[in-house]
Parts: sequence; C-alpha cells; structure tokens
Amino acid sequence: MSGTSVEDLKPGDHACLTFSDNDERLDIVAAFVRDGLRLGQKVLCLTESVSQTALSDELAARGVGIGSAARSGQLQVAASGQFFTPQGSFDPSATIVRWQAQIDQANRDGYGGLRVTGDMCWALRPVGGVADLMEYESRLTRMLAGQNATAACQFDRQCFDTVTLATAADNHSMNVTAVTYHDDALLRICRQHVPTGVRIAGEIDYRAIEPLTLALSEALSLDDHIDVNLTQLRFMDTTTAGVIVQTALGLTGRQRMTVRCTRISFDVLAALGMQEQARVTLTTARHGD
Amino acid sequence: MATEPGSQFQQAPAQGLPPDAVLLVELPFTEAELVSLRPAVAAHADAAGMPADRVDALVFVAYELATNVVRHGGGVGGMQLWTAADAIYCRVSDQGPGIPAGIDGRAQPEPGSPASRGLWLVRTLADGMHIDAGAGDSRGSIVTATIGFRREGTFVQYPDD
Repeated sequence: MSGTSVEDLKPGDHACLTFSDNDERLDIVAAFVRDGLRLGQKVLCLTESVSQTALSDELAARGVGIGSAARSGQLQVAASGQFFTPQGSFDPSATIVRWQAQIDQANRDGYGGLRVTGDMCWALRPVGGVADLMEYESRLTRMLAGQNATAACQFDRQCFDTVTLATAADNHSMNVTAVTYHDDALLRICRQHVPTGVRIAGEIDYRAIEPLTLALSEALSLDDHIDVNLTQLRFMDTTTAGVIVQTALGLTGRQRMTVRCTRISFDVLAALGMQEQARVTLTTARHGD
Repeated sequence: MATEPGSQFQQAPAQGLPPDAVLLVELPFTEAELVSLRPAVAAHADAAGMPADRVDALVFVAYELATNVVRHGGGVGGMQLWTAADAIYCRVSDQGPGIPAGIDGRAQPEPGSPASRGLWLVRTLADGMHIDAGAGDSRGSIVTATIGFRREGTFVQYPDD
C-alpha cells in the first residue's frame, strides 16, 4: 500500500507509521512533533526503543524547538509501556478510555487538538492481551474519526513480520512512510523532513543516478537549506559524488547546502572541490552517529 | 574465478611491485561483477589487517579503476590485490584501447566537470598510482594503485568528528 507523507496528517487520522531504520523513524517523528507544536496541539511521544532522554535530544538536534513546549507540558515524552501496559498487560478497552481522557484533557487545557505517536515495539514481547492489538487498532480508527486528535503508531519493518505489518496497515486509516525515491536491499534514497533535504543510506553507484538526480533536484526546488544526510552511506562512487557536486553548483540566492557524511565520502567530495563552494558546508559523522 | 588459497606464495610479484609482495586475490570482472567487487576487496583487505578507514579508501579506488575498465577499457578486466609492508597494491588490467595520453589524474578537474574525475580521485585517495601500457601488444592498460595501512601526507582535520 502506498504511503502518505507525515506532513499531510490531519485530525481524525490514525496512521500506521512504518520505517526501515531508526534514523528514518526519528526523522518522521520529528516532523510529526514539529507540525503538532506549530499547530498549538498537545503532543505526546510514547517511546521505547529510543530512551526518553535520547528522543528529546534527537528532536532538539534535528532543529525542532522543544524547550518551551517541554517546560509548559505541551510536549510530553513518556514510556510506551506506561500508556499501553500500565499494569503489565494490554487492555484494549482501558487503553481506548485513556485515549478519550487524553483528548478531553487537551481540549480542557486549551490546546488545538491532540497528537500522539507511539513506538509499538512493546507488542513484540509476550505481553498479556497483545493478541487483541489489531482489534484495538481498528476500534481506535473508528474512535478517532471525527475527533480533534491524530495518532501515528510506529511499526518497525525490521522487527514486525510481514503478516502483522499488513494487518496493522489494514486496521489503521492510512499508512505513513518516508517519501522514497529508491529502495532496494543495498540503497535507500528518501526525502528527509527535519531538517529538510535528502537522506541516502546504504551503497550508491552510477546505476542509481536517476533517482538520486530526481531527489536532489526536488530538494533544490523546495528547500532554502538542503540537508544532504549521507551519515548512513557506506559507499559512494565518482559518478554519484559528481551529481552531489553538480547540485551544489545549482544553489541560487540564499540557498544553502549541508552535506553530512562519513570520512571516505568527505575525502571524495573534498577532492572534487566541494568544500570550496561558497554555499556548502561539508561535515563528517561517524557510522551510527 | 578467484585464486586458490595456497597458490599465493607461488606467484612472483608482477612488475613494479615490491619483490616480497604476496598475491591476496585475483578477481576477473565485467559490469555484472562490479558491485560484488566491493565486498570482496573489503574482505581481503580486512583479512590482511588493513585498518577500516584505509579499507574504505581501497574499496573506492578498486571500484573506480574497475568501473573505468567497464566503461572505457573494453568492458572486461582483471583485478589483483597484492600486499607487502603495510600496504595493498590494487592492480587493474584490461585489453581495451588504452588510456589516452594526457589523462593521468594529475590535474584537478573543474567542479562539476566529469572529465578525468575518476583518475583524479584515485590519485588523491591512493598513496601512489602508476599507469602502464598493457603487456604484449600495444592495446590495453594496467593501473596500479597503492593504499598504505596508514594514511600518508598531510593530516586531515575532519569537522564535527
């Protein structure tokens, strides 16, 4: 099933958010949080794979201003388990009741709605009641429709089996995925939401020149500041390095480009004169940063 | 395909290599093998004790030289990896038309210009690069790039490490 962009989510939507790696998840979550804060909504992030502190740090590092929202309570980061399995097991009806309480509270507190995103990896454990998860998701879809609330449930494609993922997709009102220009076992080229730009992960060579050129030229037409995230790119050949240099030459007016990459990509781009270009910042990040 | 293990000690080093150089592997290739060359080169370099950042440079150089053969050197080539004294020598040969005179990767291409970019990058990332005409008849070329276990030349200060 094709995906919706996280930026198109509206009140009443119950989205099944799938992602291929943690960096991609955090990018989509950051966009979800950013949009909620901008709209004056109460934002609740339920996290598990990423610690609560790490998630707050990641949001800030990606340029989402969370300081005042966290202090005022507009943004809350909490553990998934606290919301879904407060007594150690999962009770769909009690969870739906908690949802309604959160929506009502957000309205009473004067927020422009409620936004919740939750890491669903707790459901991979043998938790009591987890067999009813999909029935719950289906009930939540019906319950949220028409309410001033948006939910995005995070399902890791690397952890959940394909049958569960397909069932999850059916029981939500839509799927949210990264906007993808290329996706196979070796290479993934996605639109990056926060900061805006393009994310290229895996290994890239001349065979992917078309999707790479498309991704970069769309960024060039959309963004004032293009963040080219190559931190998870293990290999880049001369041809694709040349496309990135060419894109930088196409920057106009106030446009800027930041390229974040591994040391070897840094060496390749630097040898092609990337550092000397006035509108470009070239920086390194180690694998896994 | 690849050289049998154990045969490596029997082969005399190719011309221009140190006399104690040992052949690690021999990998014939066409376009279909280009992608699989990368993990193969990385695995042999890693097994030879090369540090990870130098393996990255070797993989880039090896892949670039092989790509040149596929695109400009007749499409069919052979790669040998030799090792001696904390360095790996990547030797790529073909039976193509040969590298035109004047293209040696010594001049930095203008930003955005594709001309001789590949050889410039190989020369920049490798600790040495040597171009020979092919053995036998006048056709073909042999390019040998040296990657040391430690990076030579100026110390690079990476930003934001």
